[in-house]
Amino acid sequence: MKTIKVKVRISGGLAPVPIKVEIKNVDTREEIEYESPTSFNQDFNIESGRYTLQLFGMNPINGKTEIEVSGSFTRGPFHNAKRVTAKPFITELFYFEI
Amino acid sequence: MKKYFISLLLLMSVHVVLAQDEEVQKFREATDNSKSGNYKEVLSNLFQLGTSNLTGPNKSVEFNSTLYGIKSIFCDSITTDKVFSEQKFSRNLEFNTKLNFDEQFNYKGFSGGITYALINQRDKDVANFKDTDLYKNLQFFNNQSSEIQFGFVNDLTKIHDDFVDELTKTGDKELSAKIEAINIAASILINKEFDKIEELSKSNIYFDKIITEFENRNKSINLKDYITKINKLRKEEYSNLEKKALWTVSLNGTTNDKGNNQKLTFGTVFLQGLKRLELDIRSNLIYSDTLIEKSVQRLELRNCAGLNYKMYKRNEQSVFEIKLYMEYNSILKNQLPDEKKNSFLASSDFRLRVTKDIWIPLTIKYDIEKSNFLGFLNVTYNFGKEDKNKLENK
Repeated sequence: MKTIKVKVRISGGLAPVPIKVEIKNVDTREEIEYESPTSFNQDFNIESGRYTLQLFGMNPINGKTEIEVSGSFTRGPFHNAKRVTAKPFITELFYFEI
Repeated sequence: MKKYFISLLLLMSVHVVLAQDEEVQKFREATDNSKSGNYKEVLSNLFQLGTSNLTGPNKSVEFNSTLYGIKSIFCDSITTDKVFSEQKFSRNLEFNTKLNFDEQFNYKGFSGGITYALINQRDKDVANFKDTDLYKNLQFFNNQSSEIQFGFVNDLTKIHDDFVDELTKTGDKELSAKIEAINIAASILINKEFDKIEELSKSNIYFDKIITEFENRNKSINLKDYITKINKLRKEEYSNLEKKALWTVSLNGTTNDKGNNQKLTFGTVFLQGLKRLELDIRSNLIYSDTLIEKSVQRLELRNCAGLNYKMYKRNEQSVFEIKLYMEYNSILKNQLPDEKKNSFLASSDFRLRVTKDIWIPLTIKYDIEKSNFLGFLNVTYNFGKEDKNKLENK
């Protein structure tokens, strides 16, 4: 098993809807889902393989969300491991191999 | 004294600009834009620095801030959601200070006070839309978007696997660029930045691909219409918050240039939206020292209740408002000669927003007992706030 860490920091208010994380294995289509109404720093244990990680949610009206994905990757995360978004609706896609 | 006044003004401006990072500036702008003139009188957001009547005989420099605004100067982490949610008291407690000057910029006294929101259901920064149509529709879109994006990545990785031996750093770059292109297309679409699509779709194939794939999966749904609906629902949810209850209590005092108390006001304001109307109830107990010929301590009670009507909005900004209200004023102690102990007035305010910060209010009062009309025309420059004492000064 490998561990990846997803760190999400919401600032400038509270997220109006929960932040949802979906980690999907591209080959087996196995999926892990996680939801949080607030900022989080969460570890996920996954088998070696190729994955997409998607994150959905909403920013506070005057706020922003910082996202960081870390782990012992063999490729990626693409297109980068750290993101910041202040757009009203959050949709972030990562691809990595571990 | 004039140079001290200007120096003070500059110093405060620099201080506030430095203290407020881009994020905090954004806070204030976005929240202020959506507030009505009526609401802005009652509670400020973070920092407000202003001057009034710079060309008139009575000048002043004002500084208003919530306790949260002051704390945010010293503590960066205070904006993080978990800390932010613990700052309810700080966000609802406002300080206001005002230095008064005469025409020659001589110091004439100080005004200061605090306002606390006992009930503040209008705070957009803590909005929760979990049990709304917005959330249901957004969940549907996100589920679809998730599957569509996963499908694209699956296709991409298969293509790359066919050339696995050729996968070099360049291959990673190419894959990374495509992941970014998918990400950008999905984000621009859900955030309804449709004006960017035409330009970007020349170099990014995923706008069309997402739209086509979504509409193939959901034959009866036009994706752009669906996204427009989600964005409209978001606006409506925030707009609905402006109609919720706000109840504040405040204590304000004014001194003369020698520091002697001239006026002390205990006030309360209650606002509650009722569809396009807003119920507005205010009461002020005012202790004042006239100090005209000799010191005379007066005690007055001023009450008003009425309805504010936001007649016209432009770009989510209230631009024309009418307020109809009844006033009942009573001198509880030391009424002046020829002054009535009690007065009962029917009044109306017409407020026209000329620019973001300038309101032109026209007030018309009707003395019910004397059957007299009284009219007042003011031009208010508004650094995010109207004169809190406006009702008292009429």
